[in-house]
Amino acid sequence: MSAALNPPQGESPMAPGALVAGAWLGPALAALAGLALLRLAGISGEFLGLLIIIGLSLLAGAPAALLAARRGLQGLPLGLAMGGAGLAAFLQLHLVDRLGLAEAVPGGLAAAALVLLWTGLTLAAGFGLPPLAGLAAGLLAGGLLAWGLGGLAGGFGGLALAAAIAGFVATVPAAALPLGLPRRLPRGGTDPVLAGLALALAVLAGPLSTYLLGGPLMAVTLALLVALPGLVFVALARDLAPLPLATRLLGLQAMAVVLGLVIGSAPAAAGLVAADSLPAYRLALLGAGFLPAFAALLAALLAREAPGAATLAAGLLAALSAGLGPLLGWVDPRLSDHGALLAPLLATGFAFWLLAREQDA
Amino acid sequence: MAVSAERRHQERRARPRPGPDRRAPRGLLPGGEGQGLPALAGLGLAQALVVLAMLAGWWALALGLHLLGCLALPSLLRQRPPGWPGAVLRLLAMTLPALGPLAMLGALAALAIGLPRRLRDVAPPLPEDPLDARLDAIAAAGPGGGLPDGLLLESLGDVLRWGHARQKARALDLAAEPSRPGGAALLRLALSDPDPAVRARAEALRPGVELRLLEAAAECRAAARGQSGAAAIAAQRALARALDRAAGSGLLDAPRADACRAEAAGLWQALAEASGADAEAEAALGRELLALGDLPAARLALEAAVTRGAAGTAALGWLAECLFRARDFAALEALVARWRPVLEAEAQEGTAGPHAGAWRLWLAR
Repeated sequence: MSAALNPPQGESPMAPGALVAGAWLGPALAALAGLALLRLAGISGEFLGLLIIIGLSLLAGAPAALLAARRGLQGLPLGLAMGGAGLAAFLQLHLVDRLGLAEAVPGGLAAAALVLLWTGLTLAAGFGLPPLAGLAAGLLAGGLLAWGLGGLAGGFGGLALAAAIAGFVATVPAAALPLGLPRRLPRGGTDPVLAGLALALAVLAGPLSTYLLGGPLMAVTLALLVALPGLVFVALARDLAPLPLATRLLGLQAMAVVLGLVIGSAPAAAGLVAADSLPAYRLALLGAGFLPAFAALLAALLAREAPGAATLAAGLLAALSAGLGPLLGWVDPRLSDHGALLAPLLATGFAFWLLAREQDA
Repeated sequence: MAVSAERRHQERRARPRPGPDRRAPRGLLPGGEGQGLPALAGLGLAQALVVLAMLAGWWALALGLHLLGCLALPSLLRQRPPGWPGAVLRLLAMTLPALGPLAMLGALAALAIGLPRRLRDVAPPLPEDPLDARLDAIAAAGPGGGLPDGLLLESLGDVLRWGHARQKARALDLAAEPSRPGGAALLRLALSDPDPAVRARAEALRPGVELRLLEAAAECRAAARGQSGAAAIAAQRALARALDRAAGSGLLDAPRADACRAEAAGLWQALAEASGADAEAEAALGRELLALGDLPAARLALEAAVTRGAAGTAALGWLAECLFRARDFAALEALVARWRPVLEAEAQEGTAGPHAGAWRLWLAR
């Protein structure tokens, strides 16, 4: 742990496992926290607006977080990512969803604050510092604001406040340490941004394409929850070699998936998943089981000097998640649900091949 | 083409960079605890106004106030405040444009929570710079702190060799303090330092030291004026020594140094004639004349000093130098043969006299 606390001068902290796993864990937990805050503010059924905010923040925040992890905290990329995510969320909520300024401005602020949170959590993981104090303070303040203000504005404002406080507290140590000296990277730092963008797209592609094509969104999104224990394992296991870690994860996830299949009809009974999309839910559950193994392999690829292979693997997962379902549906409509199973499987195999090829060489 | 690109690259690297010294460490904990706080308070006030405007529904006013606050950020950051508030301020400058009042609340939370305990316990404070510690110790010891001139010179010389720009400047300032007469030698070294910044700093400090040396001589001169008898002789001796010190410091320009030497030579001559057997006066007179280039007169004075035997080996060295410059090698060899036992002791390995090397050469013939 002390090695993490004392990164060599000029080298930036990097916790690839926490970074990759956090890309899936963070949005899931933020969605849960956001739902809780909305409920506290007396709102139910604004899940889609919340997903838009979180998705935009992830799209802008993952590249910024990866850049910060590789090159240290830098003002301009972080500011641009926050401003971009905030503006995009504000415009989406105000112009497309027809929300008033009082709701759209907190929504935009929430997206910008979540970008700061992703960056801060990545840096905190790199330094080995627990971000719990900031998270607790943020959730407390955000809960108070949501409860006090009420309504959609209160819910979004609470989320924004919680993320801003937690993100700020997690990021300040990186601003205090004399890191961030320019480090020799090929192509002047565009590679981390590309890798981060590919990672964000890999996280978002499945639910996004399902939503755009009118598929069973809840079935695909809810199935991702089965990957959470494995992803937590990846996020915490920093020193394990990637291949044994992936093997162990497959065992762990097999148990989680079996458990998910056994209680498979529970979401349908609770009304979260429509009864006719239950087969798609089961297939997505099986596919999500491979996600932690993919994350472990991706982390190993990302830890290298040049993140090109990681970009390739994450981009492939994004492309498969977005395109395989519609492609199979075009061949045979009965096969379209199998995309959710095949995409993580193929991407995991590809990442394994990339890693094994490099290790042989 | 490749060579010229390489050369261009090297020239670009060698060019002094604008802005604050990048190698200067940015302290995490020590010092500057209160420096960033006024800026934070000002920003907090502005953001509180933004919140008020938002609550009142005046969105345009809130946006205008927020943009005004953002415009003030670059000037606030230019001060580069150190410590934890400085880090909070730096991050606040990155996040304030996008987050507005929320960033302010985050900054307040970060200030309240403080430096993470783990970071405080395990890693920082960043390792103390030994050169900074040495400079602190020299400054704390004060002028009369019992620090010998040689040790002072060696310590500050190390700083000049290994320190970064801020430390070098501080070392020169310490050396140029009026209460440290020994520091003048360091300034003389710094005048020929390879670092142009050090040379410029030493040049800037030189007039002050020069003036001080001349003033000391002028004081002695004023003191010598009203005296008579034994007191007059003592005052004259003190004046001659002060002039010696000024001329030998290497900081005076050549005409002024020569004027000092000439005046000192006159004083030493008067002293030597007054007492008749003053070896110090004769040796000093010889040295002044040697430096002024009057070799026959210098030879006479130094031979007188050496014959009396009370002037020490330094006078022997000056006499040898005088004979060498006059190209009277036979006399030089006779001098070496006459004083061989003394010179052998002087030339032993490990002695650091100014002429030890030359003696070794002449003794081996």
